[in-house]
Amino acid sequence: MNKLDKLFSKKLAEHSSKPSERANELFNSRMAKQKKVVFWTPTKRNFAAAASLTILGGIGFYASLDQKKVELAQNETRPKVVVSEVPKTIIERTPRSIAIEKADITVAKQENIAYKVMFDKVMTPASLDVKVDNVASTEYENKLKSLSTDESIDYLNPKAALAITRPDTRALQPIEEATADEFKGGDDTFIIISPLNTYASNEVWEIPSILDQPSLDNALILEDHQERLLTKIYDEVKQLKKGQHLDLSKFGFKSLEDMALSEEGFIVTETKKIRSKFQWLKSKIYN
Amino acid sequence: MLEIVPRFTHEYDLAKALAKGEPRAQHVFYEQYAGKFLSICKRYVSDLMLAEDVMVESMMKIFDKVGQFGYNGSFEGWAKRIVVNEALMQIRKKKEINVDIADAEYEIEHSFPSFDFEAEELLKLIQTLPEGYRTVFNLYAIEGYSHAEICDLLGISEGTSKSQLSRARKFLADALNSNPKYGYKVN
Repeated sequence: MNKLDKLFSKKLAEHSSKPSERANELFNSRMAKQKKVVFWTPTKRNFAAAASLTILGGIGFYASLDQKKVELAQNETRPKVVVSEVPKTIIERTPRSIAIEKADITVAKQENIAYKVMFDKVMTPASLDVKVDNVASTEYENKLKSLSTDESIDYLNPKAALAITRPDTRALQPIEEATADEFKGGDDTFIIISPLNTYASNEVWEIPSILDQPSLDNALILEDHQERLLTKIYDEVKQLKKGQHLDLSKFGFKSLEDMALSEEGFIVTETKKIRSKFQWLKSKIYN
Repeated sequence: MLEIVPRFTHEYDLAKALAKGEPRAQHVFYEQYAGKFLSICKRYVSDLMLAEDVMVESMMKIFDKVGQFGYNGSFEGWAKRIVVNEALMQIRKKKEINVDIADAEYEIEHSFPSFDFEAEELLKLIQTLPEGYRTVFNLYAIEGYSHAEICDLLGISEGTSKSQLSRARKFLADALNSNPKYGYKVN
């Protein structure tokens, strides 16, 4: 190799120049322009650590279309996601991704989940007992109380989309108005993935492999795991047709009841402790 | 607020994440390679702002084409080729690469002082080369392309490629020899 070539190659082949702020901004603006769907964008370590996932069911948007109804799953022993219609397109979004794409939705608005509604008991379709949390409007509460399964969504705020968590327990989570507006008039189904702390604890399904992470340092692994999991779920949801159910248990989701009854669960471990104490006591008495 | 920084233990992991369009991977890739790619662009495009534009454009192209990466060689090498191609496209956009055909004098070894030149200094020197010289010298001496490959890339004859390289070497050797920083002129 020519000596001069060698000199330049040696010095410059791996040479690095720090990009200017302008270049970084240019890159960021190009990235922001990309119309790629953001599937999962956690930013905080604690967010990821806390994020056992609640998968909220895909729903159609009911703002202007009369015929759409959500079919709540009944008498199911396993958690299900119910899809109201054959979706023409499926958009997956998190509130964060929406914020990125739609600048005019303020962060404050994003984080202001308007209502939190929980259906405590599994009742007959004709009469549901409803408990409403954090809802100022009694009118709204009354409407909810008069819900029947078949007409459920039409009674709710027409501007709000509803995501359904654990249809078997009738737990509903209205989505904020600003978010819902973005989907107005569409036939989109969307899956909302939310951190654990957004929802009441009894609505959350926990993923054992996530909870088993020994420390926050594993947040990155955890995040990859989540992505893979969510991609699988998303692929399954895409295949669903009207009325079909998605059994989340095959993805490793466990209801709290299942977890409690598992070998490592509270009930089993406590029972074992009590039993061993009883044995110890018995041995003392007889000895 | 702590940001989660993903770990990609192997460059193929990063490539796979990029192929999935993961924004985090794209940012990690940018953080990791923007400097190197900018340096490449600066060797071909002497205007700094233009070089940065080319670097960013290359990044976008890499994100777009990463699905075509075959996972059978260096991912960085593959990405660098895209950057070089993008830089060449930029030069072509501006004007045809000016290569004047001259008698070949490509076998001459030019002498130059054996000081430890700084990379930045050499980079600046390359930027002073006429465009044709600079392009061929970069492709041949630093990127390691053969004359045949350079001919295909630039649409010139092999003789022209060799001639441009020889002239570039002479230009650079002269510049190094006469550099007042080193106190004397060789020859």
